[in-house]
Amino acid sequence: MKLLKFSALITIYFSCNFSPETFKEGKLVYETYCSGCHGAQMDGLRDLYPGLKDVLWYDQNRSQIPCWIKKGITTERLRKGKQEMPAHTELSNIQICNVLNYLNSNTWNLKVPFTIEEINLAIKECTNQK
Amino acid sequence: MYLTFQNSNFTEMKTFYFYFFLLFALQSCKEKSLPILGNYTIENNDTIFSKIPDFQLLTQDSLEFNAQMLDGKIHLAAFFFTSCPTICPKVMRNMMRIEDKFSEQKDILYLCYSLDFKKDSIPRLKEYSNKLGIENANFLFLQGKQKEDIRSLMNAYMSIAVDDPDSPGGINHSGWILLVDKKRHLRSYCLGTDEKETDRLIKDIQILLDEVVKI
Repeated sequence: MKLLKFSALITIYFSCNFSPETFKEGKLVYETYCSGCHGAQMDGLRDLYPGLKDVLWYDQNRSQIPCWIKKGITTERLRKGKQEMPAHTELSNIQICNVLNYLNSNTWNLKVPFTIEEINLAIKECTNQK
Repeated sequence: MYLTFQNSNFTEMKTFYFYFFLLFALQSCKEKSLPILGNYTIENNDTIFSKIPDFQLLTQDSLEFNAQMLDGKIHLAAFFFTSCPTICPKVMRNMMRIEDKFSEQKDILYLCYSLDFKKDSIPRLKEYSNKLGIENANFLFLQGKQKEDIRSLMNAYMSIAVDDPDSPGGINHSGWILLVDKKRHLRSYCLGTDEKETDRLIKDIQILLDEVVKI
């Protein structure tokens, strides 16, 4: 019985520890391209760079996010007078999908994960807009 | 006979260990101090260390700031520009962390030299400082009247900047945070993008603050 309890604890410990590993591609993209401004803990930097923890806001603007990452955010479209965001044209749609799912798993916990089809569509519409 | 021999050996070891640890204890009492970094020349048997040269710049409040204002105060320096997307936010974060740690100290200056002469106007620097919520009057963002005003200082700070259209933001530059003493000598530095390195610099700042000024 004791052994059973112990092994159950071990299993829980390891399964919790390993789950973020599933998003390691997205984590790598986040650390390379995003964490400089938005912070390792996704809390931004005072009024200069926004944090990424506002679940409601990100859920409402879900279809816009891939576009912002790819094309950047210019002064006219800024939220609350923040610093403008540079474009990340070097990121592929798959990388954008990975980083969004990493953020989702880490912070937002939206019920529907991001799919590559969704990202492709968003990027396509955003290209048509300009 | 055998027993006495063993006994004496034991006491000998004990004394040895005693002095050994005493040596260690004394060693730790020795005052820690930071070296003076950079080139030096020898004139009339005196070693002349390089120091931060004279300059005249403007702060984010459009006030004159010159090198004489550094005398008698220790300062931390970093080079940045407001639209820099890669290393500057990290450096700025660590710079603010240091400021937070020594917020009680009125004799430390925090200087952020702007490398972007074209974009970083005084109002833009002011806006940047407002958005960062800087309240310490000793936390300054500096711009020159000419591009060379700041670029010419970099050598003394052991830093470089190169205009490079291919690098993010258009300027490739070093990300050091540098510690300079009351006589404008460079004493320590760290990689401003690294949190652990900055923690080490914070210790160095404390050593410098504790240093008794030798005449």
